[in-house]
Amino acid sequence: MGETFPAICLSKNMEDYMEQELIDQIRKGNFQAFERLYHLYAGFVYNVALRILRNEKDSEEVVQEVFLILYRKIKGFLRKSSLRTFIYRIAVNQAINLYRKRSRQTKYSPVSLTSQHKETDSEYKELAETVLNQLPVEHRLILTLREIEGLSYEEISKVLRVPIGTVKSRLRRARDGFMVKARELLEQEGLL
Amino acid sequence: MKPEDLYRHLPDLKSDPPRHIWRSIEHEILKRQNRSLSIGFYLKWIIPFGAVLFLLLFLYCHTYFVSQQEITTYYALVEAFDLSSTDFVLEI
Repeated sequence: MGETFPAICLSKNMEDYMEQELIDQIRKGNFQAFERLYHLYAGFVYNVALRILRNEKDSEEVVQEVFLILYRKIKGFLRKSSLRTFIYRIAVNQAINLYRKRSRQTKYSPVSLTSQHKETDSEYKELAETVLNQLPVEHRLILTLREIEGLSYEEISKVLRVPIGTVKSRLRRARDGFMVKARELLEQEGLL
Repeated sequence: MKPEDLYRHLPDLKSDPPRHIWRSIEHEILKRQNRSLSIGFYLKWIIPFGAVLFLLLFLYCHTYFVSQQEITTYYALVEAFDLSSTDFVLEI
């Protein structure tokens, strides 16, 4: 335990240093630095949007919007939180906003995500995706942040601006919801 | 197959964003930059130049109309008091 502590500190400092370096480069107008930032975080933004919206086109729109906002705001970024948390928060907010907008416009009917990948993906993956898509949006979001993107409880609490206790209880409810839906689906398919 | 097995496969749902998104972001940023450059040029050169031009035109018009008014007043005075006689002018 005593040996890992300095290593963690070092990696944290290194991460902070690299983050600051990246921000400085972008502020100086280095467009390649912004491209590097995009490649670091686009996956997260896309996955969160895809799980919330369940629609590929809309998710692409969210990714584009998030990085345009970021390009505009990064010059005034005050480092009150880490850049990572800042980006995650923008991504979640944008995806939720678009989800609400689409829900208001029409009865939102997302494009099935499983149909395109049926031949290549495993059966488990397909079924897990089907179950996840059946859950309410808040459960999908928290499961995506924790189980798909691997964020810590602390990071999730910063992104969603809720206490860690709330994160844990929401996650528990989401897991229970997932298990119930999974059981129903497996029974329907005769796989249980 | 158990529900827990499906849960364990959630991390597999991670997918990469399509490559074309970066191109469209890049395109949009460059477009906005060009637009802000043209706005910057407009603010930096066109507006000050226009303001100076307007000021000069205003001063010219002001001077012109004031002098016109002075001439008109002068003739009106001349006419009103019959100051056109040479004697009076000489007396003054």
